[in-house]
Amino acid sequence: MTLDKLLISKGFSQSLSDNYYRLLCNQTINLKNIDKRALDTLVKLSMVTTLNERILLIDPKIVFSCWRNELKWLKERRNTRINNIISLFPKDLSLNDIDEIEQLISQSFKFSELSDHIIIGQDVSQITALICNAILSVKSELRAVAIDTELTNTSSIWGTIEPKLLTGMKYTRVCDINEILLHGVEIKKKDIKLGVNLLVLKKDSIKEKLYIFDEKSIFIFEALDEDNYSQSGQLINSEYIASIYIEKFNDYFNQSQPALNIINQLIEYYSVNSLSVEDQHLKQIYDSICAYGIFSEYQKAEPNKLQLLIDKELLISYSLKEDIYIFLPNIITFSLCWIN
Amino acid sequence: MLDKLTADESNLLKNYLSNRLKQRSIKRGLSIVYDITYFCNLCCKGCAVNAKKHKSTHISVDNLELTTEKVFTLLDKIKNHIDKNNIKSFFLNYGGGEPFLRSDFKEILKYSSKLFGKESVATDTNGTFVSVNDLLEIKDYVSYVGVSIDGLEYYHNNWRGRTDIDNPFQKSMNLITESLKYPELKNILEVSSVATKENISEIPILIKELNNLGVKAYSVHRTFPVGRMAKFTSIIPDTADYINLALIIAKANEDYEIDCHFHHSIESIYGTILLGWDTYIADQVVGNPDSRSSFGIDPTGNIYFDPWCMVKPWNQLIGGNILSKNFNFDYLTSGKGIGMLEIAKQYSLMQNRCDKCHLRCSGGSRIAASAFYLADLKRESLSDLLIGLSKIDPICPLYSKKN
Repeated sequence: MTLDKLLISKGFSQSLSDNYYRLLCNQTINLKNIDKRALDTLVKLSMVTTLNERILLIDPKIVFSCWRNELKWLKERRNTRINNIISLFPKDLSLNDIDEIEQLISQSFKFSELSDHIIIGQDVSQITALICNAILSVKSELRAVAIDTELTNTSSIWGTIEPKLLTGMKYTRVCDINEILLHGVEIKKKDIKLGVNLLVLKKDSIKEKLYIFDEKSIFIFEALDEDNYSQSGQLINSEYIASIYIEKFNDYFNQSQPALNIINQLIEYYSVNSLSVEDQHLKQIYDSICAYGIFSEYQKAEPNKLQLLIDKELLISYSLKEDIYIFLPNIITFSLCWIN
Repeated sequence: MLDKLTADESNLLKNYLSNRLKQRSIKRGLSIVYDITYFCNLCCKGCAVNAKKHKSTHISVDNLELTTEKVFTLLDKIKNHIDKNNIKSFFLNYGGGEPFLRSDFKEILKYSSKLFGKESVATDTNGTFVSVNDLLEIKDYVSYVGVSIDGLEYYHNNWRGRTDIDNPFQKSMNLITESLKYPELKNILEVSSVATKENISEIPILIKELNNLGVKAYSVHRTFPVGRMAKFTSIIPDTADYINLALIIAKANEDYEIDCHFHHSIESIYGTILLGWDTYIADQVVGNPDSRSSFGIDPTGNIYFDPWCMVKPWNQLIGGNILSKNFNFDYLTSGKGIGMLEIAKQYSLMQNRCDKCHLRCSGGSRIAASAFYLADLKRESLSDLLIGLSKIDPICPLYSKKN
């Protein structure tokens, strides 16, 4: 069976199946030569991205690893925000279906990577593809500084990192305390358990967001202002530039604390606060936000409920973008070990 | 903005650009600007290396310049690299600080000339500490001596900042006048100015005066918010100022014998817009000097991505110290992966710069694009700096800044 027919049999549309098959055969296609609706769906499913008026394939290994993660995430964790990527899957798509599609692709097509030395990504889809492809090429160590949830398609990146961790890639990540609050202590504990060497710095001590892939290339994010980063950036394949960034990374590393120390202190602090909440429903909201941060379904709770916790100084509202507010545990009276 | 020129102005500029772009040589090989000392007897507002420390202030010399012996070792290392890689074209331009404050500078020029040939060596000076006899002594070791005159007397002296020298303008002009009496110096002497909003109106008068003196060549450099100039962004010329300056330069070339030109990054952009010439591809007849970077070496032997990168935050683009045991030139030029020069070239590619603008010009100066980006953003991390290299050089007449 050919790939297009297999995709149709699994519930994907004829247009999407035809175009993806055509892309795999040709590797790149000019933007003018593709149905716009099919392209839109392919981008939303993280199967392709657009770059310099070309459509580029995202390595199918990344695509299907992410799909699997999304399906598992949906089934295993009800306490999560549901990514819009899920709604684009055919209703009955199973993990076995994904295996079958990937197997056919790996037998029939060879994926070729971009060889440009500098590649500018100007939207989420492009930068996700660039980062994921670079992560797949890592042989030894991935280093990251302060990549947080402002990058909206982190599920693809994590979906690429997780299988690489299982095959021995070292991943050292330095973040600031805000990321622990944003992601929640349980999510961070899970990352550490999976093998991420997570380190934490004081708030506002990180001045740039970046990935370093082995000692060969880097990805840097464009800043919008003092605190915000845009959904664009650059992949730079240069050992010279990578060597400068490794030195910078080491500086951040040397100033940081192991995340587990901070997480344990936070858990203790949260549990004391939680005891002070008498209303069981409110307590549940507070515990969930502490544990799962922005992934907690209570981020979507009615503002008046959250306001009660804000009034008790247990939560704070935090603006990620101008019009989207999320809620974080308030740690105003919490003293970190390096502050004292 | 160029479309607002009258027909006469447009023709004047086209004629100038057409002649200049044809003259411009294709930049190949290796080019280095070596700031040989941080010491200076002046304190110019536009200094890109923050040179300010006069030798009489008794500051430890070790961090401000290398010994003669170490300079020679550094030059030997460059020579070895050139020979090993069969580099056919090489150019070494000394700057500072004021290079002639070094008592061994003539010796250094002599040694450089012996290693690389006279045609490959040049020096800049502020013209206040060097005599015509000094220049006569070095004339056989250099192909070019640049003397800076940044405007008429009041402006020039004010620009020089606090100094013990009484009337630096007069001192430098005297040097120029005296030097022009010697044909061998006249042929290698070039006067240059740094353009600001405050001196553009003086430049026509200065050119006329230099022409009357018999100066053969005059150039106007750009100012970027780098080094000390970052504190004086309000006087950096804007696009309209540079168009005005271009007309002044073009007119002077028609009216006088003196050969006047202005910064290659502006010439490339204007050449493409006004003449429709392709100044993007480096290897064609009009060339693209902006597609190749020069290395910069600071007074302690550190090598940088570009001569503008010797001060914070640009010094993050350091490539190591040439005198250190582990230093390897190959790593910077090619070697494993891609080095500093290739990175500079990559940022000049259309898909990587000026928000992917498709105009086939040089893209102007990448350092300028980044320097103005950092100034607007008020940030200075290495990532900001690299992101800035892909931005638009605001000198582009097609670029209109938001707000």
